[in-house]
Order: sequence, then C-alpha cells, then structure tokens
Amino acid sequence: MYINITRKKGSSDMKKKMAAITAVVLAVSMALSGCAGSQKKKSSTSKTEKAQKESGTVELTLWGGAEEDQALLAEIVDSFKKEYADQADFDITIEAESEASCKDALLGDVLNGADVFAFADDQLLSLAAAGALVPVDNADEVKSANLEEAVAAASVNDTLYAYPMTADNGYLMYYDKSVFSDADVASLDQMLNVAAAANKKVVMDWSSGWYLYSFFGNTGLNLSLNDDGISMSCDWNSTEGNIKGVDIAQAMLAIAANPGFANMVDADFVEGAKNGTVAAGISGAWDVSTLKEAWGDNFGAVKLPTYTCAGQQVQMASFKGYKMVGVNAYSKHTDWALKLADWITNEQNQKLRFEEREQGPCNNNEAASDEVKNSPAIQALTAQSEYAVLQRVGNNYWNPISELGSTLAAGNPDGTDLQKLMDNTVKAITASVGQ
Amino acid sequence: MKNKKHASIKMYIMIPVLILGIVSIISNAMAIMNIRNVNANASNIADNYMTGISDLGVIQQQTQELHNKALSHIIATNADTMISIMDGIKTEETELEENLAKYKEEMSEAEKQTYEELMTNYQGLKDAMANVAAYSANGNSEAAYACANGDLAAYGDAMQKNIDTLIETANKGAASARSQLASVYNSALVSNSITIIISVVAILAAIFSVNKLIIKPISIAQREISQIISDIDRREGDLTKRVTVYSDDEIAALGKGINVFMEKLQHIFQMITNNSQKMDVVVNEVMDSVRTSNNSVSDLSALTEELAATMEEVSANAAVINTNAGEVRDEVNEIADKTSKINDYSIQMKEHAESMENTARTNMESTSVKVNEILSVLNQAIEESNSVNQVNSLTDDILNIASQTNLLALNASIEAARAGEAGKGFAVVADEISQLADASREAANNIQQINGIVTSAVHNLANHANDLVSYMNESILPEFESFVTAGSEYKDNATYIETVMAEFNTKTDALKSAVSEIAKSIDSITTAIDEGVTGVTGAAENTQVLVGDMDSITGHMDENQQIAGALKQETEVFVKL
Repeated sequence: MYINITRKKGSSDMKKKMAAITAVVLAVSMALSGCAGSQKKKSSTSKTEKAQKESGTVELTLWGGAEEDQALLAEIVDSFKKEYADQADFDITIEAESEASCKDALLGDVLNGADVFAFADDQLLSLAAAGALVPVDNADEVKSANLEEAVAAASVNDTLYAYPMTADNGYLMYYDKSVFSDADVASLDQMLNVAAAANKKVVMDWSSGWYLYSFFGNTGLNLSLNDDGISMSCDWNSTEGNIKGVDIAQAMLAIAANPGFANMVDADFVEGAKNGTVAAGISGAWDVSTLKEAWGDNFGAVKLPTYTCAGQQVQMASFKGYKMVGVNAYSKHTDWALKLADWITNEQNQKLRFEEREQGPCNNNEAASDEVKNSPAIQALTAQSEYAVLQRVGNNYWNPISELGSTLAAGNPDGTDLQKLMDNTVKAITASVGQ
Repeated sequence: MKNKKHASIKMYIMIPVLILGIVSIISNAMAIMNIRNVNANASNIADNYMTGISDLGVIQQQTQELHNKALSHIIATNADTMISIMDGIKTEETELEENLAKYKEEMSEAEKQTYEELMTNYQGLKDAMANVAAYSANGNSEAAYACANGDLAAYGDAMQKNIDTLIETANKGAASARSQLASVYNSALVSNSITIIISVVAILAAIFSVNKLIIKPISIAQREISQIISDIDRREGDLTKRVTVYSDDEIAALGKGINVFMEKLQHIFQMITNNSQKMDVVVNEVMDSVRTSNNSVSDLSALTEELAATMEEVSANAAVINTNAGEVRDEVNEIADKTSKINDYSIQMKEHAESMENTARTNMESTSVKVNEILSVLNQAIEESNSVNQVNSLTDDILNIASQTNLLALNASIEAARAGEAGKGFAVVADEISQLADASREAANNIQQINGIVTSAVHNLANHANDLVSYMNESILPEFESFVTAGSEYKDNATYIETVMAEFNTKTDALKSAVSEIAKSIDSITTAIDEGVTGVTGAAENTQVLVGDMDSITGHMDENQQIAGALKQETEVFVKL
C-alpha cells in the first residue's frame, strides 16, 4: 500500500525513474546479448577446431580414379596431410573407383559415398541435379588457374561444381613401331592387314559406347542430348544419305571379321601388349605409361585412323572430355573435403600427375609447358581433337550401343537384319527416361 | 476560534475526499496486480503455447513442402529444374533447421523427449530425400519412387506424429493457464466489489458536508450578487450595496472579498467619472489647436508646391544658359584655332622676309665685288695700254736709225764714187742700204700712225670702262642696297605681325579657359537648382504627409472625444456612486 501511494504521488518522478530503469535494463540486456552473441561465435569456432583436434582425425573417403592411379593418389594425399598437419589429423581412405563409373556408384548410395571423388565431365549434370555436389568455394581462383574449356565443362549455369583435373579425357591409337610404319597407321584397313600378316592383333573395346562412337561421329549421322539434359535424339538407323546406318554396321562386321582385329577391354589390351600378341589398339591417355613400358622404344601414339565405310575412307571420331574432382554435399567435413579436392587438382599435383601418369593437365601453366606439349599421347590427342566432340549423352546411350557392339563383334551370330538391328538400337537410345 | 472553524470545513470536505482517494488508489493497485496476473497468464498462453503451436504449424508446413519438393524432383524432366529444386530444398532445410532450433530454446521440459524423436525423424527424412534426389538424377526413377514411398513417407509421417504430440502438449499447457486466468478473475471481482461499497459511503458523506458548508452560503452570496448585477443591467446600478456575510469561514472570506472589491470599484468609478469629464475638456482644446495647425500646414503645402514650380522654371532657364555657354565655348575654341593658324603663317612670312633680305644683300655684295674686280682689271689694262706709247719712242728710235743709215749710205756712195770702179759694187750696196733706210723710215712712220690709232682706241676704251664702272657704282649698287633695305623692312613687319598674333593667341587661350569656367559654373548652378527643386518637392511631399497626419490626429482626437463621451455614458449606469 505504501508503495502504491508513493507511486501515485510522484507520478512524474516515477515516469523519469521508469525511463531511466528501462534505459538501464535495455543497455544491460543489449550488452549481455551482444556479449553472449560474440561469445557464442567464438566458442562455436573454437569448438569445431577443438573437436577436430580432440577427435584427432578428420575422416575422409576419396574415390580418385582407377587402380593405376592409386600410387599417385597416395603420394598426393600424403603431401596434403603434411600441408595441413598443424590444423588437423586426417584419416583418409583412398578407394579405387573409375572416373567413368563414379556417378552411378555415388548416386547409388549418396549418403555413404566418398567425400571426395573424381569423375568425367559428362556426369557433372546428373551429379549437380542430384544436389550431390558442393559448389567450389574458391571458384574465382580455380577459374583463373585452369583452361577455359575445362572450367566450362565443370560448370552448370555459371556455378563451378567441381575442380578441373585433366584435359586429356579422350582416346587415340597406340601402336608398336616395330610392326607398323608411319604410313600404315593412317588407315585401319592397312593396320589390320599388316597385323594379320604379322599374326598380331589391332584391338578395341566394342563393349563400350565410349569407343564405339568413333565409327558414327564422322558419318554425318546425328546423336545429341535433348534440352531436358537426360533424353536423346539419334538417327544412326537412317536409311537415307551418303552413309546409311546399315553401312556402318556392315563396315564394323567387316572389321570384326578381319583376322588382324580383336575386341577386348583396356586391361586385356595392356596385357596383350606386354605379351606381344597385341601390336596396336585404341585406348585413353591413362594407358600411356603401361604401354610405354610394354613396347619401350617402339611405343607410338597417333590420332585415330580412317576406316572403310560404304566404299569411302571415313576418319574415326572420338569423344573428348575433362576429368574433375567434386565434393559430396552430404560429407560430414565438406570444408576439409573441398581443401582436399583443391589440393588434388592444384598446379603442383597436375604436374605430378602428368609426370607419373602422363595425363594431360588443364592448369594453364602446366598445359603450356614444353614437357606436356612434346608428349606423343598429348600430341595425338591434339591432332584427334579436330574430330572429337564433348561427351554429352544420356543414360540410355550406354547399354544399347554396348549390345550393338558386342553383337557385331561376334559377327551377328543370330543373323538379325542389320536395319532392324540399328532400328532397335536407336529406339532404345531415344526411349524416354524415368517413366 | 478562527483556526478551529477553518479546520472544521477542511475536515468535513477533506476526510471523505481522502477516503475516496485512498479507496481509488487501493482499487487501482489491486487492479494492476490482477492485470499483471492476468497478463502473465495470458502471455504464458500466447507466448509459449500459442507461439509454440504456430511454430509447430510452420515446421509441419515446411516438412510437407520438403517432402513435396523431393517428389517433384522425381517428376522433373530436366537437369536445370532438378538443380533449382535441390537449391530450394537446401534453402528450405536451412530455414526448417533454424525454426527447429528456435523451438528448442522455448520448449518445456515435457516436450523434450518428443522433440528429440522429431529431430531423429527429420534426419531420416533428410537422408531419404538425399537418396531420392540421387536416384532421380541418375535416372533411376524406380528406386527414387520406392524410397519416396518408403523411407521418405515413413519419416514424414513420423514427424507429423511428433508434431501432433507437441501440439497436444502445448494445448494442455494452454488449458491449465486458462483456468488459472479464471481464478484470478474471480478474486479480482470480490476485491473490486468491496472497494465499490467503501467508495459509495465516502461519496455520501462528502456530498452532505459540501452541500451544507459550501453550496448553501455560496448560493446566498450568488443571489445577492445577481441582484446587484441586474440593477446595473437596468442602468440603476448601486455601488453602495454589499453582500451579506454569515459565518467566518473560507466562504465568509470570499463574501468579504467581494465587498472589498465592491468598495474599490465604487472608488474607481468615482475617479473615472471625474477624469472623463476632464478629458473631454482637454480633447476639445486639442481639437481646436489641431484644426488651426491643419489650416497652416495646408497653406504651407501650397506655398512649397509653388516654390517647387518656380525652382523648376529657374532650372529650365539655367539649362538654356548652359547650352548657350557651351555654344560660346565652341566658337571661342574655333577662334583660338584660327589665331593659332595665322600665328603659324606670320612665322612663315618672317622667314620669307629674312631669306629675301639675305638674298638681296648677297647679290649686292657679289655685284660690288664683281664691279671692283672689273674696275681693277680695266685700270690695269689701261695702265698696260700706256706701253703702246713706248712703241712711239721705239719707232722714233727706228726713224733715227733709218736717217743715220741713210746718211751712212750717202756717205758710202760718195765714198764709192771716190773709189771709182772699185767702189762701184760698194756704191750698189750703199744704194741698197739707202733704200732700206727709206723703207724702215716709211715702216716706222706707218707704225707711228697705227700706234696713234691704237692709243686713241685704248683711251676710248678706258674712258668707256670708267663710265661703266661709275654707272655701276652710282646706279646699280644703290638699287641693290634699296632691295636690302626693303627686305629688312619686310622682315621687321613680319616680326611685328608674329608678335601681335602670339599675343592674340595667348588672349584667346585665356578667353577659352574663362568660357570653360563659366560653363562649369553654370553647370554647378544648374545642379544646385535641381537639388533645390528636389528638396522643395520633398518638402512639399512632407508637408502633404504632415497634412495627412494632422487629419489623422484630428480623427483620433474625435475618437478620443467619442471615447470620453462613451465613458461618461457608462459611468451614468450607476445611479449611486
């Protein structure tokens, strides 16, 4: 009661007091909240650092490429650990996962997939669409350090989704100089004849659409990805024009029937080169080192030859592409994963990759170096690039074309009508997706 | 005694008022407490339970949207759409996680377990969405649908259930808070009823005492005052009347105050009546003076206007004089120019005279020299011609010689004749010599004749020459001298003219400057007159203003007179003062 009376009495004083108290309360609360905020921030940053240090390990899984690349990757990972030894301890697991199959492996179980993974440029769109990639955090730096085309291949709608790693994804003709002359390697017919005479083989993997594209690319027929980025257009069964679908099928049958030809996958090719049964073959830049070992001084690399189709000599086409390293959006340590991806693809490690694996760098400085320019494989790829296109195909491309290749390699054992064979292939390639 | 009475009226009024005040303070304080209670309960309901429920609603909605987006990813037919859906999902996830974190801060202990379950299920939903997107982007629609219908749907449902449970908990909390609110309301109802009863009693007491002690005495005084005022209204005002005073309290003091006021008013009105009469007299006097001044000022104004007009005329005349003076100055200037030219010409003339004199003098001198030269040459020639006389003497000599020779020849011939034959030859020679002597004599005689002619000719010549010289000395040289004299006189005349003209020139210069000064003086006179005109015009205007002012003074004095009249009339309201 007493308090109430005094309140009533000195209402104007009270107002002043109230204002003062309010001001003080506000000031104190603001100061407290400000302090609390900044403390929170501090504690949160120190917390993450501390947590990493305390746990002692940043666990990361890396899919860096095929078996042949594992030694190189181990070396790169070691230097990475040393570089950041003062900031964290690492437990980095390197698993062999081909760049070609990375997308399927990762999107098959994205939550348990690698934190950092290497893949070919054709997989970028799907990986981005799945939301599986963390955009590159130091994009400007990376963009200026690497070839414009390689950066473009790693970007979707101007967002850089992966670190460009190599600019040599493509294939070329390797040959044994003791068997073939420089003139022989200009045409596939001549190579097959020479090889047959020497009782050796010219080989190619006809189970892969990657290589089989070479027969179709320069015939005037069309294969393209539709605007949806998934489905495809294709007229490889065309019955009109200079070269028809069946002409290519017949040409391939003729090649398959030649005793100088053998259909085999890359690994068998390398094996055959080592044991002397294979004198030439089409493969990618990743096999340079092993083939050099096999043939020694007789190692040769050249752009793809011409082949006979509908009575004409047609230059074999090829896919070209770029390899890059991405970071899993569901990684528990995206910050460290980004650092590792950046490390794997930096100038120093692109140089190391070229030195150890002869893979063509996409770093501006490295790509312009004399060592790179003088490499026979790089020279062959450069010559072939005129007939090469970026690999932009949908999921439905691979299986039908692989089946076609296998059927033709086996000499069309069921005697299927070739036009029908081509029709079926095209129908499967152009089928709508996902429904 | 006085103090006691004062205290009593204060007591009668202040005690009920004080009671009313205290009651109202108490009731207000209680109301504040009750409102605070109500507010606390209501805030609790609104802040915790209602906000919580609405937050949960948002969380539920966001979860549903995430679910929908995951499904639309499967349906999407191109990569760009998928990328934008994934971007949307990531934004939505961030927002949802912020909302969940916010909810965690405000939730009660009872909700904790359900919340943990909700978070676990949310993680499951996120993983399921990641898988759905991965399958979908890889073209594996079947797996995507399977996952969407399986894990995604299951976690979505589980989250829904968790959210429902949380909402139910919140509703329960809200219900208990509401019942608390109701009990607060009831207690407030009781306490407010009590304060109302106390207030009614206090109000009745206050009305009684106020009526008895204040309102009655005041209304009596008011009636008396009204009587006085209505008298005044009827113009029968009586300032000797007074209000009746009954008691000796604050009201009585008020009545006494009014009486004192009446007395003072009476006094003041007496003074006003006297003064307004005096003022009337004064005003009348002032009015008369003003009227007189007004007439004078009007005359003055007319005079200054006339003066101004005259001054303007003078100014015009001065301007004419000024123009004329300018013309005179121009003419004087012209005369000065001419004079100067004549002066120059006289100098030239003098020079001519000098040169003429010099020429005459030179001619005279050279002529004189020439004459003297001729004279001396002539005299010399005459002198020399005297030698011709010698020829005479010489021919005399020759004649002598010839006669002697003749004698000789004669002698010889005689001698020859004496000598006979031997002298015969000699006789011939002597003959020849005799003949020669004859011839010489003859020649000499001829010479003497011619010489006489020459001598006379020379003498003639000398005489003529002397005549010529004397002619020159006597006739021509004096002519020349008169030329010189004429030239000299001519020069003197020219010099005189020059001197006179120079003087004239000086005089015209002086005249020129005098005329200029006259022009200047006239100018300054004109300016002075113009200024005078302006001044007089200003004076006229000012006089005009003065006339206006006098008029307004007259007007104001009229007003004063009216006011004094009105004042007098007003005081007449009171019959008695």
